[in-house]
Amino acid sequence: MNGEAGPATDESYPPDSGPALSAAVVIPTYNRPDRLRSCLAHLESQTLKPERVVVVDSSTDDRAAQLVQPMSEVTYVRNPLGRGHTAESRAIGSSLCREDIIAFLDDDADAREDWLEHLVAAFHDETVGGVGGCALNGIEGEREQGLGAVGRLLPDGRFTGNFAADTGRDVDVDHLLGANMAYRRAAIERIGGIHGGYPGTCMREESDIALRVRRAGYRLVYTPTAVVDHRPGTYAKGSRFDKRYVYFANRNSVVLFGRIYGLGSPISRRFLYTQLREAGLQARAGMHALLRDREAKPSKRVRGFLGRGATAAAVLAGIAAGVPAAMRWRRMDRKNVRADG
Amino acid sequence: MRINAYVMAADPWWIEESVGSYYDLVDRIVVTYDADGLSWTGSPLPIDEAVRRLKAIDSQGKCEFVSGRFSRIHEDPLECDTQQRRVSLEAASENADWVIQLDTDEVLLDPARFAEAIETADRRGARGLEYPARYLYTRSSKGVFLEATRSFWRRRASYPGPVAVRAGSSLVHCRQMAGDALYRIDIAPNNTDPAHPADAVVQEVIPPEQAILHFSWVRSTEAMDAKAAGSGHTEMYTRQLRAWRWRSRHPILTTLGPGLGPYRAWYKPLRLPEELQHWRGETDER
Repeated sequence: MNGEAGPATDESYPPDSGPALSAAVVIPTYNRPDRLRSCLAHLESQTLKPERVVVVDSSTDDRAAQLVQPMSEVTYVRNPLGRGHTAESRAIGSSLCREDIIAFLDDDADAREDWLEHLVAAFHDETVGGVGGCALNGIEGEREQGLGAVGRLLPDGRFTGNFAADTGRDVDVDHLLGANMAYRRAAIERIGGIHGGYPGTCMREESDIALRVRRAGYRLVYTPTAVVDHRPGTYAKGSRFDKRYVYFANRNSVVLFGRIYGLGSPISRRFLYTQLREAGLQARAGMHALLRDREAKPSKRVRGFLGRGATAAAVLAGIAAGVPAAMRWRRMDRKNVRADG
Repeated sequence: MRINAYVMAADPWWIEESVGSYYDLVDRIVVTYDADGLSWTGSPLPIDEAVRRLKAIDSQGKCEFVSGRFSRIHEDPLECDTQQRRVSLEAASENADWVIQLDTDEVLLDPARFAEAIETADRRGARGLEYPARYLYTRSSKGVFLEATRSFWRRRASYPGPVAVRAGSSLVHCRQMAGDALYRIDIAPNNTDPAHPADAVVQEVIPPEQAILHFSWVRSTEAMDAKAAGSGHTEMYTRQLRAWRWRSRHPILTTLGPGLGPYRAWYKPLRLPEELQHWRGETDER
């Protein structure tokens, strides 16, 4: 088991329960049937049984479909868009749910048995629109890391994670981790549903929901006792922190801020400033590696230059791609609102 | 939320302005002082005056005075500093959720905003609040202060450590606490403190008008000499006193370029409201 079990650090858990809230679990999956099997097995032993479990499959084969077929209690649905459309999978799954709370779980996350109970308990406060739980990755010290900065959108446009921290009690946050989060169905409906349009590594698609739910007046809460053991599987393409990650992090962040707040908003401008500065620092570090690090072998100096330079280029390319995409999505979102209205 | 504070009574300069700025926010103020009237380096301190001044402003009886043996001349002064703070914090933690730990030359410009920041830090799960302080270096004979800035006179914040901590926290060095559970506020979205890395996390931004004013070096020459002798930073102070004297006499020249102070600071002139131009002790004398 990864990490220590989430200690029940607050003796008030579970809080006084109000009216019973029903819960559904939506699991987007892509080409990881073994992980999905483990994920579903852990859901069976929950102390609070979900009234509905929906698997949204965008895989390129039918292994997930075959896995789920004999499970009568699991609803299986296809997302024909395939890779890079996690947000669309969430939207498809949540559209099938009528429960009060919709929890989202990654297919490579094994929920501990009281996971759903703790997530739902936090919703008894009616001001809470979304609740995120803790995702342990088996990294030493992760329970203590970033205790004062869990799930923050910083004033300079960067996000903090630290979704493994044991804060000892529920704390207010600005965004949630897609692997382990839940929303009030009414909140999702109030913001007009879940936005798609965050391709590639799907970075920031979950932040889109979180920021809009907060903007609608709800609180978001991180509850450290709703624990999943996150066992990241093989990535659909590339590795987790390669240059694609940098590119899509920047591209999708520009889209996120642009479509929610507008490209001219203070947070968009500050994010652009922060990332352009980051690109400049990377470029300068690359030049330093090439020209100043005289003790290193020439091949290492060139590699250092190219590595830093590629990161700077990925940042700039992400921003360049994000600006027109943000403008396009903002127009489309407005059209959709008018059409719905 | 129950907020207490602790004060280490030693230096009377700015003590009324400092404690007065958060007096209404707190339920209790634990005041600790050395029973022998000595500093951490063993030099005599005007503790009686500091205590007398605190008693004079304690209109609601919030102050609790606790004496102890905090001067240990064979130990590192900063260790003595830490030890006195630990004793003070432990006493102030009783019946409190948070404890303010401001030095007596640090003045809150906007106490309500500061209280709001503590509440936000608490809601966010932090154990300590890092709140920006503006570092005032000296005051000219015409009442104009010199404020330390970044290069080209851009405003900067400085952080002596968390200025409020959750009750029961443990201090590892002076005001610093173990771990990184801090909620950090700055006066700009990107870090403005040269002592922190450029990409240091800033969780909230406030205007400079709501920061802390740290009157660190704003004293008479005699008081600065005494502060240098009694401080935990004795070595640094003594080395830099000569430059301070020169700059105090030549404020205009000082603001023209980078100085020799900590972090190669630049300085800009600052005029404060009338009530903050002079410590109450100076006003009394006049």
